[in-house]
Amino acid sequence: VKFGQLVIAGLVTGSIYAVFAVCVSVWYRVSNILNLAVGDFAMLGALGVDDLVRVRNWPLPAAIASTLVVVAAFGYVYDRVVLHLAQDGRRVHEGIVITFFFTFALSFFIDGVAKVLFGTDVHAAPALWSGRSLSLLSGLHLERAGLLVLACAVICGSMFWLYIRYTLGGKAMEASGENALGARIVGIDTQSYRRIIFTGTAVLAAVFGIIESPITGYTYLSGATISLTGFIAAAYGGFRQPGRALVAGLVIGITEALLGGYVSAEYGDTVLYAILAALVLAWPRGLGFESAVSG
Amino acid sequence: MRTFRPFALVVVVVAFGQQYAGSVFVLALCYGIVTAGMAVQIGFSQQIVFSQCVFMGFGAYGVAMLNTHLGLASLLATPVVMAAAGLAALVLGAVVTRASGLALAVATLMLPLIATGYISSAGYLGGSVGAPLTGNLWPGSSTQSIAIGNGLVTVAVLGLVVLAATRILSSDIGLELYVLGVDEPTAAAMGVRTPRRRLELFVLGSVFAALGGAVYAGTQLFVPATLASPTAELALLMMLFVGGRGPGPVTGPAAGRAGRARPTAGGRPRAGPGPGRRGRTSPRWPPGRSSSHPTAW
Repeated sequence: VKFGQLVIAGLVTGSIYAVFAVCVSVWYRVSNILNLAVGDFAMLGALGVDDLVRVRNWPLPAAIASTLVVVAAFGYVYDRVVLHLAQDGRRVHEGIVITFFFTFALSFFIDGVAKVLFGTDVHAAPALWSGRSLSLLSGLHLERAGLLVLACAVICGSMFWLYIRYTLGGKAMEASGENALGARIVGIDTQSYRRIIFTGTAVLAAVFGIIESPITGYTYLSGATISLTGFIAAAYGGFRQPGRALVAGLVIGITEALLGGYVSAEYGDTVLYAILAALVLAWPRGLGFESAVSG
Repeated sequence: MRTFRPFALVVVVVAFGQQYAGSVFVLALCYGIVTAGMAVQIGFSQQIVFSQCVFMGFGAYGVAMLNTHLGLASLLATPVVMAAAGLAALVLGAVVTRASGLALAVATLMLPLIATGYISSAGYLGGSVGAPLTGNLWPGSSTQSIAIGNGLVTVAVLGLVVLAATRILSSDIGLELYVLGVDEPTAAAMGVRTPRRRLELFVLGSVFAALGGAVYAGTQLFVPATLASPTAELALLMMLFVGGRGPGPVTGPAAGRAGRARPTAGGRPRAGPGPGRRGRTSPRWPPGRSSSHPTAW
C-alpha cells in the first residue's frame, strides 16, 4: 500500500514536472530559447487567482479568466517587445545569451512584481474540485486536485503531441526552430509561431499553477524551482523532444516520491539529484544527450 | 589607460569604503573574482558547467567554519580553503569532465541542487539560514580600517586573478584552450591532450570560484544558504554575460560592464592578433548540439 501510495503521489508530482518540461521543450523547439520563466507564470496564475478571490472577493471563474488574460497579455507583450528585439532586431543576440538571459531576466522581474503584489506568505488558489480524496483499489487514495493535474497533463501532452505530429502548423513550428532563415524563405512566419507558443505555454503554466497550488502552496519564489525542474526534465529529452521530456518528468516525480518514502524524507531530493547526475555521466547517449563521453 | 584601472578601484575603495556604496562595490568585486574564472572556463574555452556557485559556497562556508570553529583568521583560512577546493575539484572534475557538451552541463547543474539540499539540512552549516563569521578578512583595529582593508585585499585578489587568467590565456595553454573550445576533435587531432586540459580548466574555474567565495565570506561576515543555489549560479551567468567582452576576455566579465559588451555576429571572435581579442562570452548552446534533425517526439 505504501509503495502504491508513493507511486500515485509521484505520478501527480511527476505530471506537474512533465507539463513544465513539455512547455520548455516545445518552446525551445520553436525558438531555440529556454523558457526559465515558465514556473513564474504558474506562480502568477496561482497567486493571482488567490489574491482576486481571497482578498478582493471576486467569483472564482472571473478570477481565473482575468488572471489567464493578464498572463497571456503579459507573455504577448514580452515577446513583442523584448524577445522580438533580441531575436529579430538589428543587434541579434546569439548563443547562450539569447538562450538563457532574457527569460531568466523575466523570471527575476516576475518574482519582484509578485513579491510586491502578493507578499511573501504561502498561498494557493481555491481548489477547483474540492472534497474528500478518492478511494482507489487496495486502500489507495488520490487527492481530487491530483487527479485533475493528472488528467490535464494527459490532455495537454496529447494535444501537443497531436499538434506536432499531425498538423502543418506543428511541422512549421519545428522548421522554425531547426532553421529560422530557411523557414522564413519557404513562407513560414517564424515570429508568429514563437509568439503563439510563448503565450500559449505561459497560459498553460498558469492553468497548472491554479490547479496544482492547492496541493503544494506557492510563494513568490516558487516559480524558479518549478522552472528548474522543468528544465532538468526537458534536458533529459534533449530539450527538443517533448515526449521524452514528459516521460522524464514522470520518472523524476515517481523516483523523488519513492526516495522520500523509503530512503530519507530529508535527503530524498539530494539523493535524487545525485542519481540523475550519475545517470547523465554514465549513460549520456542512452539518455539522449547527443554529446559523446570521452577521455 | 588599462594601467590606471587598478588604481581607480583602490581610489573608490579608499574613498567610499565605509559607506554603503563601498560595501556594495566590494561585494561586486567578490563576484568579479568568480566571473573572471568563468570567463576563462565558459566564455573562452566553452566548457559549459554550472558548478561555480557550489565552489563559491565551498570557499565561503570553508572560511566560515575555519573561522568560527577553529578560530582561524579569514585571511589565513583562504589559502587553506583554496587548496581544499582545488583537491575537491580535481576529484570531482576527474569524474564529470569525462562528459562533455550537454551531458556535462546537466550533470553539473545537479551539483547546486545537491549542495542546496545538503546545506539546508546541515545544522553545523547554519541550515537554511546560513553561517555567520566572527573575523573580518582584514583584521583592523577600527571600523574604517577594517572596511578599507577588506576592500583593498579584495581589489588585490581580483587583480591577481585577472592577471593570472590573462597570462594563461596569452600563453600556449591559452591557445590550446581556445582550440578546445572551438572544436574538440580538431584540438585532439592537433595534439592537445583534451581530457587533461578539460580537467585543468574545471579545476581553475572551481578554485577561482572558491577564492571568490572565501573573500565574500571574509568581507560580508555572513554566508547565506542561497549562495550555492541554482539561482545563484544563473545570477553568476548573468553577470558574466552582462560583462560581455569588454577590453579583453577576462576583465570585461570581471568588471561586469554592460555598456562595453559588444557581441559580434555568430559569437565568433573579432579578427586581430593577441589573446585579448579571442575572448568570447557567448558560447554555443546547447553544447555539442547535433545538426541532425530531431525526431518529432
